[in-house]
Amino acid sequence: MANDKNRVVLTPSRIFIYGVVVKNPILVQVIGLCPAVAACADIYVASLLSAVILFLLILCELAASALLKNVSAWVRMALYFVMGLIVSSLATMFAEMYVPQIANTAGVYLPLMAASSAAALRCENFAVKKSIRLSFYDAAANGIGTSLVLLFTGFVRGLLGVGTIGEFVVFEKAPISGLSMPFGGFIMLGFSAALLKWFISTFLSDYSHDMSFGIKRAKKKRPPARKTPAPIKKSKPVKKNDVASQPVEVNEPVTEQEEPVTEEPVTETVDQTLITDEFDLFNFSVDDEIDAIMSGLSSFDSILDEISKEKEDSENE
Amino acid sequence: MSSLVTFLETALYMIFVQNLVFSGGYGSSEAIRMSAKPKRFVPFSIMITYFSTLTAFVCRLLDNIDAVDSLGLGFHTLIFGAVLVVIFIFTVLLCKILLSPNQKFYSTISIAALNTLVFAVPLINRQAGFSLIQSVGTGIGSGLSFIIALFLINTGLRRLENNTNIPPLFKGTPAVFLYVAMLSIAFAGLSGRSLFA
Repeated sequence: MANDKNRVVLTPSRIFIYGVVVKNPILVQVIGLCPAVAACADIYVASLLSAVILFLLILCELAASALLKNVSAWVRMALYFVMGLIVSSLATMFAEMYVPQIANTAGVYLPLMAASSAAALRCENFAVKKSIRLSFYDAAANGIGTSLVLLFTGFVRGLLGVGTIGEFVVFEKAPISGLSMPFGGFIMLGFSAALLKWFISTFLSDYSHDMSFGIKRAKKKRPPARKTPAPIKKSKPVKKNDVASQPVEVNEPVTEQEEPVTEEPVTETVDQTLITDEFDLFNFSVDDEIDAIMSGLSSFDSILDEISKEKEDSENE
Repeated sequence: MSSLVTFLETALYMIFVQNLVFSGGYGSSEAIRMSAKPKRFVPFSIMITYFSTLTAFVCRLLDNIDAVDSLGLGFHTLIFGAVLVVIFIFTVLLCKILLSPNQKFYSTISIAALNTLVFAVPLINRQAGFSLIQSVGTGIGSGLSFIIALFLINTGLRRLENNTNIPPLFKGTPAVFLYVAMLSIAFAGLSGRSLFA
C-alpha cells in the first residue's frame, strides 16, 4: 500500500505536475521536438498542432492501456503510428477544408504528427503498464505540457520572428526575423528550458530533486545491469513518517493495485521506478541505450551522465 | 550518367545544404537522444537510410499514378504512412525469419522506421516535385545527414559536459538546445539564406 517503503502515492495532481512541468515532454524528456522547432512560428499553427498532439496522446494512451498490453512492442509501435496517421490525416483534411491558410503554413508538419515520438514513448513508458484512468491523466498532462511549450514558442517566435500575433501585425518589420527559422526554435527551447528550470527550483522546490536538468540531483552509483527482473521481495510496512528516510528498493516489476476512486485523494500505488526518471535510469545498462530511448523515462540530462560514466570507465580501463 | 549526377547532387544537397535534422528539425528528438550513444550511430543510421530510401522510392512510384497524384495532402499522408507501415512490418518479419534477432533489435528498428525524419522524406519529395532518381537521392541523403548530425551533436555533448563555464541554469538540456541551435545556424548559413534580415 501507500506506506510501503518502495512505493509512492500516485495522485492525479502529481501526474499533472510531472507531465506539465517537472518532466515536460519537450523541455525535459526531449521528445516531440520537430513541431516545436520548425512549425511553431505562428500562434495559430501552434494551436492546431497542440490540439492534434493532445488528442493523439489521449487516444494512443487509452488504446494502449485498454487493448495493447499483451501485444508485442514492435506491433504496438506500428499501431501507435497508424493511430497517429488517422488523427493527423483527418486533422490535415479538416485544416485544408476550413483553415487552408493555417494548413498551408503548417505544411508537412501537420501530417508528421503521426510519427510524433511523444505519443509512442508515453504509451510505452506509462500506458501499457498502467490503468486506463491513470493513462488518461498522463496523456492529458503530457499533452498539456507539450501544448504549453508549443503555444509559448509559437507566440514568441510569431511576435519577434514574424512581427505578428496571429492576424494582428505588431511590428512592421520583425525584430528578430531569424527566430522564425528552425534554429530560432532551438534557441527558444533552450531559453524555455532554462526558464522552466528556474521555475521548478523556485516554486516547486519539493520536486526539484526529481527534475532532470541536473541541479540538486545526487550522483548515485548505478547498480550492475540486470537482464531479468530481480525476484520479488515483499517490503515490510513502515511508518508513514519513515518513508522518506528509508532506502528505496527497486526490485519489483510493475505491480499495480487498483483502488476504488475516492473523492480526495485519488490514489494508486505504483512502483516508484515507473514514476521517476532517475530510478529508471539506474536500471539501465550503459549499452542498453535503445531500451533507454524506448522507455523514454530517461531525460536528456541522464544521457549526459552516461557520457561521464563511459568516460570514467574508459579512464579506469 | 546524367541520372547519376542528379542522384548525387540531390543526396549531397540533402546532406550538407538542407540537412533535415538541423534545417527542418526532422528527427531531432531521435538525433539528440541517440547522439550520446556512439556505438549505435552506424546501425541506427543504416536503418534510417534503408527506411527513408525505400519509402521514398515506393511513394514516388505511387505518385506516378494520376489518381494518387491528384489527391490532397491528407490522403497522401494516409497513403505514404501506410507504405511506411507495410515496409516496416515486412522488414521486421523478414528479419525475424532470417536473423532471429533479440528484443533490442525490434526496439531499434521501430524507432528507426517510425520517426518524423523517415516519414518526412516522401512528403518533402512530393512537395518539391522530385523525380524518382531525386527521391532516392533524398532518401539516402537524409539517412547520411542523420549520421552527420549524430556526430556533430555527440562532439558538442562531450564538450558541454566538461565545460565549467556554463551557468548552472543552462546546464543540461538548455545548453544542448542552444548548441544544436548553433549547428542549425551553421547549416542555415550554408543554404545561403539571410538569417537576420
